[in-house]
Amino acid sequence: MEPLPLWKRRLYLAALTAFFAVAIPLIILFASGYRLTRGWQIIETGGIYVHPLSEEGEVFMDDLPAQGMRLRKGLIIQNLTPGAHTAEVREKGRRGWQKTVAVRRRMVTEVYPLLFPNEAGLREVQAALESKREYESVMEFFAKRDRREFLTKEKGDLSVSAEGQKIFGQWEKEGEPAQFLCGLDVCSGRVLVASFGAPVRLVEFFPDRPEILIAAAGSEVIVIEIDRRDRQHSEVIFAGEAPEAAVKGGKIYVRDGHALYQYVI
Amino acid sequence: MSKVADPYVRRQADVPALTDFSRTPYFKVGKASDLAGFDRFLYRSFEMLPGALSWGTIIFVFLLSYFMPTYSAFFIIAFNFYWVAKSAYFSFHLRYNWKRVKHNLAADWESKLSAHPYTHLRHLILLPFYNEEKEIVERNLKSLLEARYEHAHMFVVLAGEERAGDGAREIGRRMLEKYSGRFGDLIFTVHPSGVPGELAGKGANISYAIEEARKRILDKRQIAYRDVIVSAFDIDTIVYPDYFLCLTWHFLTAPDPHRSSFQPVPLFNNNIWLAPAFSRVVSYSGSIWQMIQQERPERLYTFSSHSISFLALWRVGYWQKNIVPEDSRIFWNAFFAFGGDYKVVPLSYPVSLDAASAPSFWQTVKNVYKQQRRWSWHADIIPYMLMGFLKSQVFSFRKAFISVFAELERIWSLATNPVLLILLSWMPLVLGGGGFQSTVLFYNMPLFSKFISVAALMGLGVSAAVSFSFLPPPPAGLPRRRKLWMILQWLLVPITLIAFGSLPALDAQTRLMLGKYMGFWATPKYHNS
Repeated sequence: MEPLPLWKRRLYLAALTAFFAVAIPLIILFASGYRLTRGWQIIETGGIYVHPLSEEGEVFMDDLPAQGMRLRKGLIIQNLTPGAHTAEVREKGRRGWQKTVAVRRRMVTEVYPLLFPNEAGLREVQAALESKREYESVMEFFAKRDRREFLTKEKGDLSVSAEGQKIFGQWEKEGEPAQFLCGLDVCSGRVLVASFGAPVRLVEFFPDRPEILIAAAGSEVIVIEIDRRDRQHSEVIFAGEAPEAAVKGGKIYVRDGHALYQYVI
Repeated sequence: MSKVADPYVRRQADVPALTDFSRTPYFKVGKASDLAGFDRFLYRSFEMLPGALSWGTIIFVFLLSYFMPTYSAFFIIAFNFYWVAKSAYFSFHLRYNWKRVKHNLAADWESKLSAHPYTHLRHLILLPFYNEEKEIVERNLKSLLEARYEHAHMFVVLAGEERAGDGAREIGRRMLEKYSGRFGDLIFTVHPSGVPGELAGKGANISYAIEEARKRILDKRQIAYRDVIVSAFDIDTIVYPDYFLCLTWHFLTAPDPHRSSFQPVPLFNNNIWLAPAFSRVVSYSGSIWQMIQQERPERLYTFSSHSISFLALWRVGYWQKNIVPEDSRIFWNAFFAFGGDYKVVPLSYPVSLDAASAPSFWQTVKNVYKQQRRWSWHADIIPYMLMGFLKSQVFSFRKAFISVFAELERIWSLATNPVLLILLSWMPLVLGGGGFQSTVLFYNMPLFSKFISVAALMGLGVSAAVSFSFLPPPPAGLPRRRKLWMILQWLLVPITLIAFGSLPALDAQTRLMLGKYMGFWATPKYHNS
């Protein structure tokens, strides 16, 4: 049996070199967001990244089911023309969430859905019964907290601070965008995050969601998204006299006097 | 060009002439310090080239990812597709060579040789050993006796080392006692230790042994040098039954057998069922690379166990005694000595060797790493080639450029490609700051990595199938699930490529770059059957 003929090897080489030479510019253009229209026009597109998204979550883009690819804990939807697009997330047992955001060419706009359950669960943690140990431990946690830290919080490169009826956010990483705070623009200085009808007594980050806050203002505890592009989603999770909230072990607790509740989302 | 007579040659015209280069100090240079003056500086600079190129690439990708992540992403996408195209190109060669090896294993070499008179030919087989166990030496001799060839036409040289002590002498004595008379001749040589100018290792040993064999066997029997085919085997080599018939046929049909080396496919099969999974993968990766090279003869050089015309070997002064990778260097020695008129004939017929192994897992890790680092020391061919092309002045710039580029690309690829592919591909995502993390490109990079992973899995499938087809029968009593592991083991490739590909190659190249020269490290042979 003769060795692989040289002409065949050269043919393979030529074919693969041609493939490489033609494919690489196309792939790089495609990866950067360029697309070819049916009318043979090259256009620049952008995308929307929905993050996070549960397995049951369905995404709609401009009222149509979104065609995207799962990436990390979210869904990336590409081929969107520059301009305003509405992303909507639906999930069984939860209230729908939607936001209209601007898509820029070759850029990806990130959205952070916040889906409240249809029936939000406030579980009372009672001082007696089986939950006694939990009650004591959480109440002790509340008592030991430094009240000076109630109005300022830091998580990674984000710091939030409450002043009067308002909460401000500041992104510390210079030159890096934080889309939930400043959209696709680079953040500079303090940015207004939320405004309430009563003085804010406490601000806290939602567990595992740096773009969502828990705030106690007046007689309410409110969960609110930082993202002020389009409508800002929020929910009063507790109304009482002068409630406080705390996150302990990834769980949200609300205390009002001697009463203690866990908010189950 | 000068001509020297082979004392027993029938046609003097057949004695290959040598270039003037072969009489210069550059011809057998081992390292920069063997030269003086500007040549020493030049050679030292050339020694730095492979390491500088590899480190330069890695640092370049780091810096580019930090400062210009978009361009770094373009580079990485292009590199990934280059790698896919290259893998596809190689897999054509692998598939074809697999067919050819299978064909050659099934061929009737005796009948093929019937058209070529070959009874005048003699095989001189060198078996260098250091401190290997008697069983390994004996296993090799037994395989020679099991080979289908006239044993009277086989001269065997057991080449021991003085520095190995009395144990090696005892093994040699016992082998002579047991196997004398079974071959045309069997001699035992002991390479003296501490010879000035020599690097203790295989090259010095086999060069000493072959000169002894020339005097004690060939000259004594007045055998024409041109009728002798030398096979330099690692001591763990086991020849397949028709190796010498196949070699003889290729020798007789080669256009110029005295300007050719003959390279079998090294399959690291002897202990494959007992070696750890990562060692098997590393070993088979080596075999697969050699199979690919068998279909690219212009890129093939001698590696590990190989065969060569004694006349050519004698004319170039045997293997270099002052370097680590004597196996590949002998090709380039001959290439420069014969003015470029030298090639390697791929036999596409296997020999079987041991996969690196040791009694414990971590010792095996160490052995595999050290073996790969020794093989990667082959990077020292770059200064030798550059100096050779520069000083011999018989080659065109094109020839020199193509040869050096091909070799440099291979050495650079080994050290950098797995790192680029597996680790550095993520660098723009990790280091790329500013607005890069909001670009479509940023989000597409992991998707392209997924595509590359799928392409890589397809390539691994071919490798798994090829390796599986060469597996010897499992030893009795081995669980059946081990067969499944022989397939699943290929999932270790991303790890082995880095740990036993890039890292030892970078290690060797860095040492060469810094002038911290390596000695010869003989892979311990662990008889774990």
